[in-house]
Amino acid sequence: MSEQAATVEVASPALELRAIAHRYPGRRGAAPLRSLDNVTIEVGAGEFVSLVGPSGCGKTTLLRIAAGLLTPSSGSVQVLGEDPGRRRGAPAVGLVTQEPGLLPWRTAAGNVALTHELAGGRASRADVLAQLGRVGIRAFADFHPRELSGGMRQRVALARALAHEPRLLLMDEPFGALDELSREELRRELLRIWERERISVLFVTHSIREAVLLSDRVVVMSPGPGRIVANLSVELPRPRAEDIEETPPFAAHVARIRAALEGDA
Amino acid sequence: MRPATTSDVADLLDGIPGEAAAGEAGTGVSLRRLPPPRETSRDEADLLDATLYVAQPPPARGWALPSRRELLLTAAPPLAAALLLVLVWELWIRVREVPIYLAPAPSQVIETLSEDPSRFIEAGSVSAQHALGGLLLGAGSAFLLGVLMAHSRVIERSIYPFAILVKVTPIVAVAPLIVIWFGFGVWPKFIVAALITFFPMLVNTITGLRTIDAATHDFFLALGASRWQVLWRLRLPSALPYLFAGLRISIPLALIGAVIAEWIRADSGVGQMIVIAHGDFDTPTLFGAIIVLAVIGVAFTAALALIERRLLFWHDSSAGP
Repeated sequence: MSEQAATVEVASPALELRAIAHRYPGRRGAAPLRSLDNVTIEVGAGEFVSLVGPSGCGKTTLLRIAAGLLTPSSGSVQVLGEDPGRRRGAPAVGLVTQEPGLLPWRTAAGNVALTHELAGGRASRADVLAQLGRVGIRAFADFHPRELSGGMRQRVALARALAHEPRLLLMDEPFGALDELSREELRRELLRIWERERISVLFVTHSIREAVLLSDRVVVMSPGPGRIVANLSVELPRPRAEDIEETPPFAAHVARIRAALEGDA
Repeated sequence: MRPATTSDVADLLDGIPGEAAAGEAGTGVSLRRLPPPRETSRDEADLLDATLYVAQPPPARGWALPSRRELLLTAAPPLAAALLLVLVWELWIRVREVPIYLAPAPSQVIETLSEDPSRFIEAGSVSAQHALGGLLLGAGSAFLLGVLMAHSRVIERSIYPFAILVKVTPIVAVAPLIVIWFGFGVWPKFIVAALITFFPMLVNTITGLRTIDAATHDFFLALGASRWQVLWRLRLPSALPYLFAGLRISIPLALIGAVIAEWIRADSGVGQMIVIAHGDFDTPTLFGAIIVLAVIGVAFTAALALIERRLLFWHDSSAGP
């Protein structure tokens, strides 16, 4: 996706969730569990927004609503100016979850090709290889998931989610199941891809530092029922490198977000 | 599995000749060199730090046969035990002078088998065909029905009680009716064998189609995949380990069904051979029939295992015996 495309889209946000409420039905007469209450959130075109909050604050529920996997009890969802439920044609979102969810019987290349098959197109081998190269694993095209490390599998999942050039990338704790080294490596990779391509991203994470490093804006949520308690923009220069984490402004951002999280509790 | 560190990689670069140095099976974790990159880009150069090596050899794919040593180690103990058993049996019959209408010595069984092997081969191949036909009919219809039932709770609820009924009714009680209705020929054999293979395949099909990875399913749905795409690209491949498990259970059952149907009308196959030999107190032939059935069962199971290894290279179970 070029800079030009990004500037054209500035007018309409990539994702608009308005006054979203959601409840999970109660079991055997118990009261339904209110997981989200009046949540409004917007991800601008080319913007990287992180959702942070403790477990059970509804951030995953919110992301699943954005992905069209859940229907909210009330409120409106617009993905690129469209109701995802009524969308026709190729989907505009890419999804990366904590578990990579690759097809174990397909190679890395086959897993990326899956996106093209589901999105209703055919991709040449060269296209697929280029998409693997984008996340630095072109040389592993013919390996099956069980032959790859956790970090590499997650790279395949990222390449797969980006293969149909979505305008909105939804990531649900994508590095949560990885060891610390792979996690840092993948953060760096994602940072590099994002700064090159400027895709709109909604990113759910437990890690405040991860959120500050990657995001333009950090939305802090709190549980019972899930709602937004702070919406902070990250004023750090780009392109960012990992060593930015050692600077005082970075620490100040982390402290602000932590205060927002604790202030509520 | 452990990612290789940079120093590991440096050590190995000196030690590894050629483009692939896969460790021998059984040595635990082994490092395997990558195929040479086609072209080195900046992204790929980054890989040189920690991820150039994967800490697991790719699983053996294809019709790989076990090594001679492996074969000896796995085959020798049971063979020795069998030989001992046969020896004791032979001695017992000779020392106690057991009459042949009660039990034959192994040597007498071997004599009967080698006297007229074509008799056993013909009966065996007829029964094998009956069992295979029944297995295809039973497993095939169970699979198709299972696909429907896995997709619709209404269909599942309306058919399941009948499937249970088929399962709990003893096949020997139903088989005579089937033989009366369908008479001579292959169909009563196919149908009896199909009836007892039906339930295990049905249950395994339904379970297999429903046991899918949640994260993968989410990805399919987020991309707007159709039911058909989910079935074809996710559910069916995910169900394969269950389908093979169902077939493994069904093979001996199909053989039982075929022999029971042959037995009732006594017109062909090992079933007929058993009925006639039983009437004559011809115990060597009865033992010969048992051996023929065992050979068929083992051959079918081995063929299935070969196909399974080929198709399920990606599944954990294929790594084990």
